[in-house]
Amino acid sequence: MFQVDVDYLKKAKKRKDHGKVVILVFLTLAGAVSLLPLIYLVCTAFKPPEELFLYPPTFFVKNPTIQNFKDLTAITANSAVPFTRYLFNTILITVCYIFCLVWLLTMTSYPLSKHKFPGKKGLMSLVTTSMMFIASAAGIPAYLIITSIGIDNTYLVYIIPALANTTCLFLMKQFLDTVPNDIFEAGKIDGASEWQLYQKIAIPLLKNAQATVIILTFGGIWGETGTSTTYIYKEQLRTLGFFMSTIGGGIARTGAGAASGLIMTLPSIIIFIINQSRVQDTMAHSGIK
Amino acid sequence: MAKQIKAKKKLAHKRTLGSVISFERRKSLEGWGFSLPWVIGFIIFIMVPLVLSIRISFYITQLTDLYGFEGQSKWNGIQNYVDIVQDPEVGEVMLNSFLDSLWQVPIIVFFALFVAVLLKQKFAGRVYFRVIFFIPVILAGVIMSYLFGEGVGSISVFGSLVNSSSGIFSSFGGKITQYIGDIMWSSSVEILIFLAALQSVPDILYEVVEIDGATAWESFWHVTLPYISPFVILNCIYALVDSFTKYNNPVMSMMNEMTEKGTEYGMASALSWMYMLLALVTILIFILFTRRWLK
Repeated sequence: MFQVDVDYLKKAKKRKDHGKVVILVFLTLAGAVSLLPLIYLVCTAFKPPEELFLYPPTFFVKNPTIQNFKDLTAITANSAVPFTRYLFNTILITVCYIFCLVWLLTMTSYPLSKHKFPGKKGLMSLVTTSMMFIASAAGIPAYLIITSIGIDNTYLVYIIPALANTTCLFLMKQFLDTVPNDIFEAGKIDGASEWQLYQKIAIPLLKNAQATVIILTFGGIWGETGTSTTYIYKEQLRTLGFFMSTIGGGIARTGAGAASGLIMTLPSIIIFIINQSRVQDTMAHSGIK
Repeated sequence: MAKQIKAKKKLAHKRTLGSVISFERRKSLEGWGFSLPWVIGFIIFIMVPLVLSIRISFYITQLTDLYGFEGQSKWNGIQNYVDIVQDPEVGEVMLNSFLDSLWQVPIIVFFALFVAVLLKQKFAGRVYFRVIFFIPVILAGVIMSYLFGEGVGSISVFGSLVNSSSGIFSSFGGKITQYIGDIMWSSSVEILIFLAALQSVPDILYEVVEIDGATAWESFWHVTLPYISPFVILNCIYALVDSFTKYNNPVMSMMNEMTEKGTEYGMASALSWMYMLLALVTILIFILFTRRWLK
């Protein structure tokens, strides 16, 4: 007969608990290093002027004040183009961009991962090669092309060029590669068309790749300043990120700049918190038994 | 009766679109059909500028000439490249940053894997920890530019931050803290990719090996690692590219300086192409080494 070794089980549980403590301690220490800049940002946003210009600069705030945020609202209230317009622009651009990007990337990665067609290998190696290129060196030719197409000074210039995102395509394809082919073959035998296979199988199974791509690209497009500066000359079409970056200029506005930085960061953090649960759950049930 | 059979025959021979085009061709049409929209954008916004920049790298040009591409640009042959190779300063900067990347990449990937495995465990507050470890990417995109004017999550930002906080952190010694900070800051995308990859390992595999009596250590080496090995390689490539092209890379700042000067645009293009080749060769060697391990 079996006899359950109660002592052994107790010990095993204890060991497990110890392991958890070690994990927590390590993560707390390492996390503290990652968190420092954010704490610094929060502190700076609440610093009164005399602390902002201390030398050497202090890390923590001593006499917190919300004066910086008051300054910020005063500045936004007096801007030439209403603040809400910038906000509207940024939200519109971000939503359109993320939607198009996720849609395009899943659609492109599906045949790249699950089909054989001529030119596929060449295309893939072009994509990976161009990942290694430094964008600034091709900046001027890119500028020439974008202006000659004529999408400069429209909302499109924020969205279309940035859709050619090679890194995220690469990522998406890698994720799709791990989805077993059997699922698609089963779908094919059941008579699904290619479009149905893509819509009913590939897209749901790629949910956590999509969440990853959203997290990776959101910060960039939300805080977008470069395109606003280079391609847009109508103030009404510029983004919130551009507007916020103009606030920080000048010594008198340093505090307001820090406050704006804090406010610009919040949506990214929220988007991350929403999406990270998708990263965590979806893929768990995709396996074939 | 005969009529019915005839009708059936007719139906059987009815040509659909699918049977007009051969199977092979239909496959390739479908493949290209799905990827075409993105590929067009890729060609216009990435390939064409790249090819144009090859052309520019053979010229002596100024920024202002490029808009017409005629102006005063002069054909310079491979002289731009020769100049770069012969310039000892460029060589030194390139070699140093290359060596830096080489030793940092394995550490970043290892650290990211370690943290991702920890973050996958179930314990109280893991959502908060995930947020914390991903903060560098969130911050890098948005606020670093406001606060510091330049440098995306760069080592200098981190270093100055640590140095400014005299007390707790400076006691660790400046340089080492800087390196630790830089590595942790660079590894957040890799942590995210690893996390997502770890989720894709079917739970049933762990159950099976647990029943067979494997320890956590063994199941990591024999289940987790083989399953996510493509992502280890993906992350190595990602980290390598990232360390080659990030803002605080000395070669990058040299290139940006040349571009901003406006007069040496051809030179800057040549330098970036050489740098790209270096990155490519490194990654090719890496892939050659890891190919056997992959499959």
